[in-house]
Amino acid sequence: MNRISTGQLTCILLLSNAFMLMCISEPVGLESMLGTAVSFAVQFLLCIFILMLYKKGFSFSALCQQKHYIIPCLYILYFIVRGGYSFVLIWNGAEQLSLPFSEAIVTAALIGIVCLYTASLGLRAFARSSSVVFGLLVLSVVILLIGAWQRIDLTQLSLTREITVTGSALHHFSLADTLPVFFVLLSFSDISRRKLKNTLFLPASLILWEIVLFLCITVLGNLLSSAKYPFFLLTSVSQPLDTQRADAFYLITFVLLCVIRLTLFTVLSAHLMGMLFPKLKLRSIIALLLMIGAGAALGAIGYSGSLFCIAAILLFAGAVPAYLYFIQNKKIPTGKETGA
Amino acid sequence: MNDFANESLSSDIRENIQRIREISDNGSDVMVNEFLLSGVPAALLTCEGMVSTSMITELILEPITKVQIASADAERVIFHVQNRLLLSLDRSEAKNYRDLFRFLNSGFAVLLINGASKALVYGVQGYEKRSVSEPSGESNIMGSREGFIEVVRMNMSLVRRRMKTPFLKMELMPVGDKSQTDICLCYMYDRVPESLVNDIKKRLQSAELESVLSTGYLQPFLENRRGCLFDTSGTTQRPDVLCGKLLEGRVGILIDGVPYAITVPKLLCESFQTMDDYSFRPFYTTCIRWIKYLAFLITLLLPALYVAVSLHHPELLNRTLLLILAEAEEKAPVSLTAEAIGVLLVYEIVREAGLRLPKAVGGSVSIVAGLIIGDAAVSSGLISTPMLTVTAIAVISGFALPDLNQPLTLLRLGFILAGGILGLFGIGLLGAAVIFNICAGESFGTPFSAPISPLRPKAMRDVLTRVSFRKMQRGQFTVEEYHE
Repeated sequence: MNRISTGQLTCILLLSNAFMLMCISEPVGLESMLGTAVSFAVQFLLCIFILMLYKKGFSFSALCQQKHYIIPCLYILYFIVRGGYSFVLIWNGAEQLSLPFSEAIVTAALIGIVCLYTASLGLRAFARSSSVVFGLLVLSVVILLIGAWQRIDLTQLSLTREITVTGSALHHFSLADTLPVFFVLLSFSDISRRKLKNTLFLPASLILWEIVLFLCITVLGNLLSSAKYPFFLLTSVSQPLDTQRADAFYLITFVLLCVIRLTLFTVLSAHLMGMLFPKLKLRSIIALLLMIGAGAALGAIGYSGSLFCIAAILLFAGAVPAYLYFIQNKKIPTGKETGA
Repeated sequence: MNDFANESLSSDIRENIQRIREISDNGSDVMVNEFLLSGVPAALLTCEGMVSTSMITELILEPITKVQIASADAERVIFHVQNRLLLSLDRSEAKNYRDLFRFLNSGFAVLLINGASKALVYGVQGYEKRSVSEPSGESNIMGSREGFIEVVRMNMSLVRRRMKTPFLKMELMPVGDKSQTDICLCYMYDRVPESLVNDIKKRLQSAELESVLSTGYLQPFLENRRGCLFDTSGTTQRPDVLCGKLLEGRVGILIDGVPYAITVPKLLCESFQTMDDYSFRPFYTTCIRWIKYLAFLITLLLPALYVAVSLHHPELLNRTLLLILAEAEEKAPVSLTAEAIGVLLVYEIVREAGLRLPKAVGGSVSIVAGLIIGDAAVSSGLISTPMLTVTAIAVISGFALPDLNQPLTLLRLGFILAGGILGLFGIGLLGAAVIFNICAGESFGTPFSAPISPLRPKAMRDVLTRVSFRKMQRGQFTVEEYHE
């Protein structure tokens, strides 16, 4: 049985959020910190709704058993698009990785091969690995804090005209693709599924985001206006040692986060495919190839669509759970009833 | 010839002896001594060199030749021998040729009596064996100097001497179609779930092996997943270490003819623990343990990071270091990656040569390799001094973790290749694959990466630190708690 604990669930979702944090390429200001907090508050409300649905005994396997195929299909599509978008983010940020080659397809192929292997090991291995990578992430943040501590300038912490709280909140919400993931992952979490502590990833992510945004604003100051990737600029500026740079550590952490995030989408897509088409083989390969294809397509059209993302998140983490919640007692049997 | 396995013994002693000679093809080591036991034809069978002559004379031949029974027949003689004479503490019966040969070739004396369709067997083993001595590996300063030897019964006694509790259960069973090797399952039956023991027994019995000549023959049957880089079953040469593991709810497997015990389930953190950790003071042990974790990272990643940063990310080096490296590498005729792999391969060749050659010659190999080749290679400019230094530090760090030598050797080369070709990106990718590989490892349902992932804070007292026995005595735990 592929079951994950609450702690592992938190780690997985936090790491996915951390990847998005590392990839932010928009201007950052005090309003971003406030907007992020608002966005997390909205996400928390949606999470409560999802938890209420699970409290009723909902499970994806039961949904598939009742031949409600459209909803899992939609989620597969969503994960593939988000996986593809993650590839786009990696390609765009490839210059930070100092790759010895410029072809995006080589990067995708290499990450794809590793993700194929990691996804083949199953959800349990994935969950355990996430805990280890979470440890590395915490270590990265501690090193970052040590490096940035001397350079913090609180006078930089002021409101700007270019950014608004609403805009920042909406932008951050468009990055909150972990909510639909949370909705699906809860199906694999058998411990305290109904409890509020499953939403621990939200406050943890909020703290992480706020720390990094705070450091970006106070350490980078005027440099922020020219920063393409504020996080990577922050790591370059905040060196804990005078004689030796520590960027290598952040780069390795970033690559690990890439693998975790893509593996997450691959594993979930493959799992849902398995529920829909039990006889389908090579599901992880299919999911990854579709993601790379989606990434190439999104890259070609220069996709950045925040509005589309917001709509998708509201649909998959709000509307669909709401729909399922209201029809729960009428049509869809519970996990307990089916033994799922 | 193999159809004798389940063939029952006949009641006719002539027929039995004839069949034994047929099966053993008149082998020189099967000794058949025919005599009359109170007038009934009997034969005492032994295997040359496997029994103690003095013991067999004193315990069996003398009492048995003095037996006098009125109106003796097979039934009465057997009753008398079984119930009136003790002969040996280790007594059993063989009803078929398979059992008879297993006992005979294990150093038992086999008594055949005409009219009885079974043989009485007596343990009078007296073969040559190595005495208990300090193990060649797993050296320690404060702990016991005793190590396992090749005789399973002696190894059982080494464990039993340290664990007198009746909860320690030892079960002997033969494995190996041809070798019929005795293996002994040791476990604390109050700490190990019955399902785990049954699972291990099932796997061992299902192993269709001809022989079991080392631990490596059985380990694949005790490990769950192919492709796991690390061993998910442990080995030890030390009875005290085995006892410690048994107390934590593990199962030990002793194999006759092998001076090692296998332990399952195994966790990665065990590779960083030694017997001395529990002899020294906790704060010192904690410090040493962290040094070992650092050594693990150094031996795995240092050469790869050196190659990756020098080749692909020189901006990460400080100016002084960059100048030193640039100057040193300027004269090197091959690329950094090739240089690193070359040095490591030479080291592995030297290590292997030192291991396989006789000890007297093995030492000279190290001298030739270390002083002559190393010095000459640097002087001639074939290898740069920083590269040799980095490699030497990595290799020496690996010595701190002998248990992980095999996977670390392969992974070190893999990381150098990844770092050389793809830079830090490659190291990150391979690192992710290795983390997943470790986390996917399981041993009978116990995650190999426990107690770090899944996190068990209680167990951290002997992983991140080593608390004193005052604290450790409270709240005993077993590996079963890690079971997922």
